[in-house]
Amino acid sequence: MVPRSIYKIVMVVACVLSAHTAHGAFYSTGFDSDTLLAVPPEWTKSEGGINNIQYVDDQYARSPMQSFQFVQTTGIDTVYLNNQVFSSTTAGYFEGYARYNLGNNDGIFIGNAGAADLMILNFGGVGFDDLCTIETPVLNGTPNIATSTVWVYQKIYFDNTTGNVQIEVAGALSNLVQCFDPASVTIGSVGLGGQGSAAFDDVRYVSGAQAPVVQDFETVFNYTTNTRFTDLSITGTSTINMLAGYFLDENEIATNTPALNPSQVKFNISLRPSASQSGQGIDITPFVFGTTSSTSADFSGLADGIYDVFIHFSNLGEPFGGARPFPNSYVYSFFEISGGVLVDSGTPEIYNGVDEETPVYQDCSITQLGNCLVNILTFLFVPSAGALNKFTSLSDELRATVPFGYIFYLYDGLAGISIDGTPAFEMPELPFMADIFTPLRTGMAAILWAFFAFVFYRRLKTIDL
Amino acid sequence: MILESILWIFYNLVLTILQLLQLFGSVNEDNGIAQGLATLGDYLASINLVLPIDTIVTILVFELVFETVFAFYRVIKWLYQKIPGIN
Repeated sequence: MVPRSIYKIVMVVACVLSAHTAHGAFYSTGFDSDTLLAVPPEWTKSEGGINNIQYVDDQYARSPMQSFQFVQTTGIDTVYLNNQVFSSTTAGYFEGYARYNLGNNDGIFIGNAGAADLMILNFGGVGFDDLCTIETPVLNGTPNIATSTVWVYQKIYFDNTTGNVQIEVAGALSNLVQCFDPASVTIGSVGLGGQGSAAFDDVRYVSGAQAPVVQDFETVFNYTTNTRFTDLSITGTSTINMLAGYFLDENEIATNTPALNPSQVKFNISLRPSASQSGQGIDITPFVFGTTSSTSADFSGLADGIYDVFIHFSNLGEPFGGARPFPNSYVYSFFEISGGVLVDSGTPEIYNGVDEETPVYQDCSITQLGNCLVNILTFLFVPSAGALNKFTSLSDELRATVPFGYIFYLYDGLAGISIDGTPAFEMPELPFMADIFTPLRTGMAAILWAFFAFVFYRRLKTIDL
Repeated sequence: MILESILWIFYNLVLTILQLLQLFGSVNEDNGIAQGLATLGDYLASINLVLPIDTIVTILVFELVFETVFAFYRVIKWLYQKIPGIN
């Protein structure tokens, strides 16, 4: 039998390791969030496709990008190198940024070698087509798109040895572009009462050699389950502190193209039946994995009424028509009212089993006294989600504390041991080795099992039930 | 409220202890544990040719699981016997 003192030591280690196992998945990949947003040393060139999505730097890093090439610089008003104004006459091979400021009735023009400029987008609703019609078939017939300042950043490679300029384009809308359809629009199973908003956060462009096309817009109408949608009926208050909880799965985010990852949690609120909405985006980088995090935004100056509310990741969780990049990550909302009364709130979506708020209270009235009693007991004994979620952060604290942190390392190291690895020393290959060691090993295994059976039998005999 | 208060006290107690312990130093990420265990794995791979490491590990895990289950059983039995009127 295993001596009790050894058993106790092993048990302590085993208990610690199994306790770590509950959180172990969050530490298993060694993902470094700092590297996610790091500036890549150089963009990868491509002629279309969506595999060339890169961040530029932290300031301009919010947009997925595609590369293409052309040999003209027409339209570039200012060129920045390392955020400083850069002279294109400087010799050498450089990387820089050309900044465009596109306003209403402007479009984004992509030059094409040997051909006239091709306009692919027009934000005034004049010309080729408009954003909504292009990418949201459900909103076909929309007359226009709201004016929105558009900043376009182009990364430029100056190569004075060839005279070529290579440009990579990214676009970002400073505000949400809103599209409104007179017909009833449905987001998932939640009706919007004839009103909806499309958020084009990270506008993507891809260009082939001759035919630039637009693809991979992401809207709230793509049925992403990362969007929490509900409605609030408020009166007597002008301020709502809107909170969102979110969870990022490390293994999903780490395996993604960085540009597919969310950089913000976005709050949008719209008073029915107004066509306008207020929105705020809260930066959630650097990412925190393995725990439910929260962020909030204050909306003030609100009139009484019913508000449609949706909370979503900045990339809305899903490429248009593509696979969801992180199906296990989610964002959800809960609300606090400052100085007023929340009259009613719609039934929120339940996403991934995460309830909007805990505890859940029943309707309490003179005819429903039983519910009142339940509410009292709920108030007394059911902890809130926030109280429970705090414990997930203890794991991080434990990992950073001596000596417990080293036990995590020990666990990771033990989990990484493999007897199938490269041996530290090789036995010389002799022709008769297999004839000797194979039966020897088999025999030793049989002896070990027999010994264990004997010891275990004796142990069972002494057990006091 | 009651349970949440208890959780709050427990959480802050543990957090305080951990943060006090962190005053004595932080975990050195370059501690070599992983490298050391990886090296151990290399040696085990060598020994595995003669000594059946997988069999030893299986037996140890079986023994640990058995003793753990039995320990839990004894704890539950001890608690059960604390109920008045039960021997």
